[in-house]
Amino acid sequence: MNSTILSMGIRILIPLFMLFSLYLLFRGHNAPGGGFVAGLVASTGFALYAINYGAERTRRRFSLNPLFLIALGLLIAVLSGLIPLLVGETFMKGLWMEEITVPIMGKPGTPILFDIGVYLLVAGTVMKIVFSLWEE
Amino acid sequence: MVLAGLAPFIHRALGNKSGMFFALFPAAAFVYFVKLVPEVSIGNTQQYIFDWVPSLGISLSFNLDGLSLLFALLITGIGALVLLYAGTYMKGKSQTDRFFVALILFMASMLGLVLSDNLISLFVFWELTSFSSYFLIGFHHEDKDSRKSALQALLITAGGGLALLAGMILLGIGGESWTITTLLERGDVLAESGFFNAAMLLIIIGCFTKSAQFPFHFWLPSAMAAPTPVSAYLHSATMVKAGVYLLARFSPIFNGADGWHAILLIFGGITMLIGAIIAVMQTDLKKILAYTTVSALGLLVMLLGIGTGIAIKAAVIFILAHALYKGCLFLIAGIVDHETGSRNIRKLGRLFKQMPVTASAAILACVSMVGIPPLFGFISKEYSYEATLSMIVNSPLTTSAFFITGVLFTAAAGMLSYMVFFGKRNRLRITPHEAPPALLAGPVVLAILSLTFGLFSGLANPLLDQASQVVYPGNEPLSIQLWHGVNTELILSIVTLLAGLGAFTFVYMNPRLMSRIEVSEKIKPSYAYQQTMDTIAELARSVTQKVQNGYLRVYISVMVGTFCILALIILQDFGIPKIAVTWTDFRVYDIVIGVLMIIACFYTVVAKSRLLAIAMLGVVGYGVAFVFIIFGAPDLAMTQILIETLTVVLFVLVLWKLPHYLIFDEGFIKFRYFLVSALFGGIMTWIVMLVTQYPLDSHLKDFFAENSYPLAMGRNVVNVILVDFRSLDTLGEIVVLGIAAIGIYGLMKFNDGSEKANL
Repeated sequence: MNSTILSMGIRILIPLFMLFSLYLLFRGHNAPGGGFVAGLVASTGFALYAINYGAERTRRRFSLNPLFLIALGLLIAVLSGLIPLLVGETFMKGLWMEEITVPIMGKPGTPILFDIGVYLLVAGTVMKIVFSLWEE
Repeated sequence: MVLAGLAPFIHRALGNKSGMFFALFPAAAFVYFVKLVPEVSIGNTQQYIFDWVPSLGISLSFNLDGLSLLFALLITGIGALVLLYAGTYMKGKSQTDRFFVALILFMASMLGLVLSDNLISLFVFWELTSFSSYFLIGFHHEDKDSRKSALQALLITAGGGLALLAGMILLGIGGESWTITTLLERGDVLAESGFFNAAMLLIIIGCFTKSAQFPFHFWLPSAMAAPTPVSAYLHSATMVKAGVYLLARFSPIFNGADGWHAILLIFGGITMLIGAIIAVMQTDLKKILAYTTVSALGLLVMLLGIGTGIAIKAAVIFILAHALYKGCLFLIAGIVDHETGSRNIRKLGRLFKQMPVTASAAILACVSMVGIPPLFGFISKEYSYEATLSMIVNSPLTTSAFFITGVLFTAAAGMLSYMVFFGKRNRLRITPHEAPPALLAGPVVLAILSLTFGLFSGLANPLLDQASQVVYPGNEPLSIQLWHGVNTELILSIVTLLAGLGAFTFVYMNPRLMSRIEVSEKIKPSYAYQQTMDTIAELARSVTQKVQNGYLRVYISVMVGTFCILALIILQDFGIPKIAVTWTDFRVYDIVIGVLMIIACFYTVVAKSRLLAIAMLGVVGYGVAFVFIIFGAPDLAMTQILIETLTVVLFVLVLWKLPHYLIFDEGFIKFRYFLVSALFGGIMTWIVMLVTQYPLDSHLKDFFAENSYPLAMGRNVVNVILVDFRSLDTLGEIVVLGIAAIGIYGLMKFNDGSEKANL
């Protein structure tokens, strides 16, 4: 598929997609957003890029490895659940660093870590599907 | 467990030395357990309890008594030797890192199994051993036979595991406790509950599969496809004894029941005889060992079935004796294989000169197996004879069965030692050398232990005594001695030995005759297993072909149709509620969106091209998103919009690859799909109307709204629910998502016709 508008536009839009997805990810706890949606936004950007330039090129250009993202996301999500065990709490109990407040995100804690895991996994999954379909 | 996870990295870092390094861990555990021996020997048990799922009464509780300690020592002691051995044995083979992972995992789960004091955690460890042994048997996964044997072992032991689980649940409910030590004191409660016989039978089945009892014995010889260290460890010293362990563990409850005696005696006896008979017909070293192991397990089960104080003592002694000599012999079989490249006893011979140390260890182990003083096997044999002789009924039967087994064991021992290390000149192409020290350490240590425990029988006495007390509470104190004086047992032993030598000479002199004995495939239980597996596969194939016809539209209509039927069954109790909405309740944009969506729906159905249909569906989707926005659900709306967008992107990707767009002209098909859709739509409307009948403000909503900020530091309730309150659900969902992605990838790749997907 060759559309000049899309192929030029997407180059500029990719960083925006990424920024927006990160913004959605971190504001998710206090305002509409969150890991799932953010992951979709991020992968949509790359999917549009792939439509124009092909899966292989997209993967090399951004050194993407969707399966790695999926695994990493899952690992982070599970780790976020395991951290509370170290301080003697039950699995997946939310912990926060109460004294710090970060703009947009609020207080950092294990739930945001979990959300990051969700984000990576969702993005990886969609990318994997898109790339596989492209190569088919 | 943690070590197992790290194993591959350690292995890569240390290379071939890693076996030695890993061996340090079980060795340390071994020392720890040895230190506990004096404590446990005087009857003190050690308990450790960690809560796991307290709400279900499941805890990781460990209880260390005489029986557990005996097994723990075997597991860690032999484990250390086997790891040391494996480090050298597996040198130069690929994927040894995986091998160590599975072996250490197995070791840890086996240890957990014998130490567990909770039914459920015991079962979990039990399954873990089946699971890790599957990897170990199937280690040579390029080999078809290897895979088949591994699957066979897994199916049989896991199938038995299901029986065991059922048995344990009945036991837990009947005995009103999940703790084994409590249950053991509550035999009477269980007997009254009515679950007694069922629980007993199921547990026996589970143990029989694991311990390779007739008619499940055939998986064990097939499992010899595993690398030799695995056979030595799993299939002689530890895993197959798990069943025996469990029978012994529950023996205080069930001992005395009629069924218990009868089943264990009969099946144990049959297994013992069959194993011994088949063993002498083999020519492969490992196969001989495997069948004698089957036979030995049969003996153990039979002794537990006899269930008298003396029989339990005999069983406990034999557990130790057998682990020592059989572990040793397996390791030697591995050495012989490693150094000569052959395991066929007809080809091997006169290896003593080249491999004096190996040969000496092998001879010691064989002498223990035959039961000649001063080795430990002799003591074990005396006790077994005493046990069968002292039975009130059936004594002649069991004694003669044991006699025959003893004779055949002697013959097998002769085949293992004489034919390999002496006898005829070997037919090997290469000149074998003595094995390196790391390989020799295991068998030599085990052989020397066999000798030591025989000569200084007092050494093992306190622990074995305690173990027999656990299996048979109130058993008379055990005092093992090498020399009992001249009595019936001794005379029987001597006769056994002489007859055994005769039998061996017969086997040795008539190689042709032995190889000509063939047993019809059809009477073997393995044939029945194969038939069952084939039938299941055939059935699955025919069902799949009918159900999975590949038409997505059929799948969807079946799914929707099923949902409709189920919903109708539930909904039939409710009436159709009145619509309490008037036209004035609608706002202008509600109507606009609604009309837009209806028009889009209509065009989706009548569209003449796929692209138009997809675009129209998109319009419907965006309409839904708008509805979400209007009703104050921005998170949902955002997700909906993105999903719609992505759907379009995905469709664009596959559009040109799809078959021609089908337009159903025939009235019947059209009517069928119309019916399904209308039904579905109607039911959904009905449900929505029903739901709005009830007040919307549930306490859940209030709870989340009130607690989301104070408890979870988030103002976005939806997100807080997802990542905090119900994060376990989300975790499950993302796991499914990840698996789905890999599945889709797999489907795409395998469609190419290429064999392997490069993940």
